[in-house]
Amino acid sequence: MSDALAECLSRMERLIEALEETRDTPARTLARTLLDSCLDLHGLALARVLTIASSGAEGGRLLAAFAADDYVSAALLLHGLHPEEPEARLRRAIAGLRETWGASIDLLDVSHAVARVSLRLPDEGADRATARREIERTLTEAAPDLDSIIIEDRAPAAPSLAE
Amino acid sequence: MTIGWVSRIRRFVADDGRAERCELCGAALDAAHRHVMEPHSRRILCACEACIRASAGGPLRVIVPATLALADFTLPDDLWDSLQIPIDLAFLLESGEERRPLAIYPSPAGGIESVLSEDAWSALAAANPILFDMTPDVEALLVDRRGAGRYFRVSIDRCYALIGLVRARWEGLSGGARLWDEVERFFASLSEAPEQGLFVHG
Repeated sequence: MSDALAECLSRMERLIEALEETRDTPARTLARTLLDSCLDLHGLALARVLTIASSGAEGGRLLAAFAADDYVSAALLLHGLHPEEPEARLRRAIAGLRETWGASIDLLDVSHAVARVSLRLPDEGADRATARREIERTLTEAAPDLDSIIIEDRAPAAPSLAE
Repeated sequence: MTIGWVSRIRRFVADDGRAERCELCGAALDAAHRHVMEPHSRRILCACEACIRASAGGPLRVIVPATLALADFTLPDDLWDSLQIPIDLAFLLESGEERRPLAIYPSPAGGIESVLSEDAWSALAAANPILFDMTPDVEALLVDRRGAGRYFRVSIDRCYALIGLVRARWEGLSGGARLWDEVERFFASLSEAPEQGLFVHG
């Protein structure tokens, strides 16, 4: 067994012992639930990895199939191992959003884990608030590894104030 | 799904409970420390005094925590309506070298930026010359039109404290009573001495 793996396993063992012995029951329950969720995430992803890997795809196609799967993608994102940069994921999501909402939406830039997006919704049609929420949700799902996605809403021209 | 679940887990894991660190040089920081803003990303960074001194004249903007209630501020309804801000709580400020007027308002998904028309901003500043004194990027006008109308000149850290509060506590369709109680406490804290309010975290 490699040193790094042995060290990781013994650290987990020590921490589990410490949690079993702690008198702080709520903290132990929280730690157990968190670990359980974490195991779920990796378990679901690994199951999908095995299924996808047994499909016979190789090389770049295999990697693309991994990236396209929600579960595998989530695990890769969590570890900073996703083959696509946040910028590429956002661009793809934005292309889809343009079609769905008829919105003028552009990625301005991505830097220091912050993306800036400009948005101009059509004047009529779907409820603006709903559209905004859906657009935010889609962008966040596409790049959950960013600290923040700033959406600059370019409202239609304001009516004259001189009336 | 909240903004950046991956980012959130990574931060939780990285927070080992030790003293906070300067995000520019890594030096350990006192609990009460100052902050700078990186104007391009609008990120607020914890900074040590040495880095704050060294960044004078550079792109980073030093945030001076401050709040000032503006008793005589006037914002007519038609002007407010023309800004098209969907909720009665927002920050207005000028951004960047070009002093682009901007509104930022809290939402369950975090701060939402909305570009303001130059005309609307000019009309507002003409009626309220104090807006000319505000430093772009790091100072904002806090507008609360839920009741009779309250206006404050605040440093940008306050904006992000309120935005963080709304994002963290929002429940259901309208936010929930607990959230709005917390928002009231936030407004009460604005009247406290600014020196005590180095809050930006959370």
